[in-house]
Amino acid sequence: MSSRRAVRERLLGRRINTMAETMKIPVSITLNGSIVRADVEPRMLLVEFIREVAGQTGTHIGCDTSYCGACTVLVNGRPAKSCTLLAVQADGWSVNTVESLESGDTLNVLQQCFADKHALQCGFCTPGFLMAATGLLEQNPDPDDKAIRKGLGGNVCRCTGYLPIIEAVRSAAVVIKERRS
Amino acid sequence: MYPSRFDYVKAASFAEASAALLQGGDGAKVLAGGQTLIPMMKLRLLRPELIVDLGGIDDARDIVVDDDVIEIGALARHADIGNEFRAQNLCPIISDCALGIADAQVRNMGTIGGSLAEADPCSCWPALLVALDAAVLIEGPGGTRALRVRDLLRDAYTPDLAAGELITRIAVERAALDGIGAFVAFKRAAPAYPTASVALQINYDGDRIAALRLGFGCLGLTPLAFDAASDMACGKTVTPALIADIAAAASAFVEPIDDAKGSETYKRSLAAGLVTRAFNVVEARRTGAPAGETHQYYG
Repeated sequence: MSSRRAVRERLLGRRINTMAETMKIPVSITLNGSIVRADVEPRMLLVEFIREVAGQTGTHIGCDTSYCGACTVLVNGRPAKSCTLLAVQADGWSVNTVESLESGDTLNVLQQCFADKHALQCGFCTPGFLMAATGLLEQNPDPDDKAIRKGLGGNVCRCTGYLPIIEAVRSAAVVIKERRS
Repeated sequence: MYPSRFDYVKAASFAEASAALLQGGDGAKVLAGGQTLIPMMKLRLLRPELIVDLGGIDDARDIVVDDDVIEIGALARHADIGNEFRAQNLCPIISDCALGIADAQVRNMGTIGGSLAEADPCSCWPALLVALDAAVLIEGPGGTRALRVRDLLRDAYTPDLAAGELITRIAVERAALDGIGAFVAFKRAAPAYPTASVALQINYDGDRIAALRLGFGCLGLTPLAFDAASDMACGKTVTPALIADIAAAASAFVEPIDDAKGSETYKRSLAAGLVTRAFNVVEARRTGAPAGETHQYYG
């Protein structure tokens, strides 16, 4: 045992787990329709599983404290913050990320509306906004501005001032409704 | 940011979770929705050695509305509770509370039992359930017991739970929900805890108040129930003068502390403002007028 660890253990008054002692747990997550299996440390966050294990880097890590929503994914169809979930919690769950929205090189309606309405500038927050808005439109296909603002209250954008984002979601709702009728 | 290392057990039942917690001792922590626990662990404010995940317990998410009592499983998620009561057009005070918590993402994961067991004086469920004098069912090594939420939450962050005990169900008597209610709050941002919150339920007899329940969140070291407000209000009609009297009494009654969210003076003033808004929302609901927002925040 290193002397540094021995000192820390004395200070903390308890044993410190080392990497060798940490258990690994088999996890199987359906990510964008494909099953991803891995043995992970219990402390691995879902967002790290998505980015590092599955290699899908569309989901971003922003504030890392559950405020900004950049890491928003759909968990069993509903928006959740993947930086505030453990990968082991998500064992057996279905998770969808921003990569699930486009088909081939074609953007989906919501993505196209974000582009058309200039609802992004630097784009860092955009994957989170897209997934939060996808969940919102799923639950409420005809949201008014108040419902859009409330539905996106967990996402932060520092570029756009939000108005173009609200407009993009509103116009996506209109297009989706037209296509359905 | 990574939490410090811990071992992990996914329990299939409360009994299994209880046994794992006892075995884990002081270093063990319960994971329900994780929406508070995981950020605290990432910030290393908590370093549990063992996490007991309740996510594998499937039969504790139900919402049962009976004539006498409303029962909610401890692992029911905020969004599910709020949407259920909104869809049934029942007890708006409950859907206000549930759908005002944090943001959509957090509401989809966070649970009512987790919110109670954390005993944060700023959380919304504790404020509501103290105002409604609700009870919880607790399962542990010594069997099952019932406890009023007021007795569960006698101090900040320290629920009255023994080692290995878990909250399994929440029960609210329907009599406490007679009439019309509202849960209002002021937050600095959607995901933030409220600066203050107010639960108000009024049972009317014609135009007159037959019973009134008033409770506060984030205005003391525990949620506060202002039972004396009922005596002030009973037998009277709701007038601006009565609202002003109760708001002033509430402002004096609460026990806010100075912190980054505001001074004591500011919070006493906010308490009075929120009581007034709660009355306005309840009156609007009674008369069918547009009720306005129950939760206000910047942005």
